[in-house]
Amino acid sequence: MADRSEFAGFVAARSPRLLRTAYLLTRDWALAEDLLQTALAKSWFAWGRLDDDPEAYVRKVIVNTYASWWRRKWRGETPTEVLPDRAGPDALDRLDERDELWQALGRLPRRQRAVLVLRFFEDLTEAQVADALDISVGTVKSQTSKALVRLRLDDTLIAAHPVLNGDRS
Amino acid sequence: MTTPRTSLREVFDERTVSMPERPARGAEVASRVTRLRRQRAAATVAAVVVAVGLAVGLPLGFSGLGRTDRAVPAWEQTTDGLKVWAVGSKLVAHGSFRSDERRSATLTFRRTAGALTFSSVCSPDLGKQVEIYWSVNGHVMGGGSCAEGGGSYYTAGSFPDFESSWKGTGVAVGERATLRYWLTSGPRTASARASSDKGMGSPPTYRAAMPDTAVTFGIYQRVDPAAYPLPPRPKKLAVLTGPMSAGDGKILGTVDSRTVTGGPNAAVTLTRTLPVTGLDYQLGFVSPGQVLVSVNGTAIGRHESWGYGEWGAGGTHISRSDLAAAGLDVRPGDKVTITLTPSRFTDPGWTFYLLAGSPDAP
Repeated sequence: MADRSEFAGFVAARSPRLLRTAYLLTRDWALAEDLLQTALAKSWFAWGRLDDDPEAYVRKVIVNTYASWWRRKWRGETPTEVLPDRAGPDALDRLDERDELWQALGRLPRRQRAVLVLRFFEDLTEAQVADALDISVGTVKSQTSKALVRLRLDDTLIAAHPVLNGDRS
Repeated sequence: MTTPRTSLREVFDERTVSMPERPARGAEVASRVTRLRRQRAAATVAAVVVAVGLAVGLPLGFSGLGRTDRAVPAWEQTTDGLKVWAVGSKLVAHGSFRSDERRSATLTFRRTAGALTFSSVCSPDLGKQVEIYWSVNGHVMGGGSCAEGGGSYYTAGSFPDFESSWKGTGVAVGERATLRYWLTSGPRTASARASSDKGMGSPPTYRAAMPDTAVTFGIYQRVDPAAYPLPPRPKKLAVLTGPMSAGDGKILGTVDSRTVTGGPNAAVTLTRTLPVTGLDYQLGFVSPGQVLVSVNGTAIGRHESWGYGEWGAGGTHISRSDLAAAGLDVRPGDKVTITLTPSRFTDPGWTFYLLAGSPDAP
């Protein structure tokens, strides 16, 4: 059982990782900070009841708070990152490719985006993702599959990458 | 060439490799905890007041408003944690109980007119594992979840016929009705799911362990917009942004009230080819007002804003079957005319995005 005296230490130690997860969901550092602090404050009240993995609980609060935010109100998502200077043709191609993928990720429905973030950034198992999102393992599988298919079928990616287009056939 | 699957991690890592410093995060979280504790303490006091009332023999259900701080401006008044004015409606009756003492409660109220809206607040938050339902005269009107803070507002019935929310209840204007509110938890049975999905019938009755929480629930009724206390206009309006996400379809058209000739209350039309996947639209607001959405002259949606914060009606899907249900015989490839009819705006505070429907939309 987690000890409340350890909460401050948890915030200091684990916030950077959780903030990154929040950012990948919201794509805005200010929103991500708000989301993280909201989740941490909510988690404080449950701290004494948590088992040996409080991070999983906080992560669950993050993704569910994120989902409820977007049900109640919306804000525009405008990627503002500035790409680093381009060094040469190879690097340029890779930057273009990653930037297109980042933009395509931003166009995914929120649940599909959350599934990809939890699976491929947090390295959670399908069962863990299912628990975090309160959905079935089957839904995790189908949402992951749909998201990956959608990324490969994204018009921008197809236009930029004929290979991806060819993969469809 | 890397595929999206193999490069996802690279993109995630790359995008989060540098992030802003937040040295005061611990103190800021502590401040939020303190604020939440105060809110919970206030809700607990309210519940104790009700419990005392019960102990001296008062009925659990009661109608009319409880104690309200009259020094607070009308638009932000609350009573036992519920807003008095919300979504164009006024709280007309409310009740409170604790979930460790009971799972449901009733109250009576007199129908005045208009749409029927319900809200409840729970402190501490019950989370998604607990569902709430409400009925009027035995007819299940809706359900959802119970959170702390402002709570959610569930309006029964659907546009354009607010009277539809009263159908089946047999409650005429001026008559009294009984509102029942109940909490459920645990796995839903097929019969419970079917009952709630039908919108009418008896409430789900399954039981499971439930956390202790203070619950306040209330019923709202529509008021004349002219009588609704709007918050004061800020010196500077929030900035209209959006759309929420273009991930569900290609943007087919955009209307920004700031650039509409004739001002924010001038009607606007868009004519587009109906995609196979139907249409989606999103409306964003930063000031009070209303926008009616029509397709080929038939009203299909009404969306309102009652404040100056950024608010959106996102992801409203219009399938071909929706259009058919509205009496419109249109097919993919046909030209359709979408008319926006705004009203009550004193500021150019709305935007509209028309998108191709999502293939995933139900």
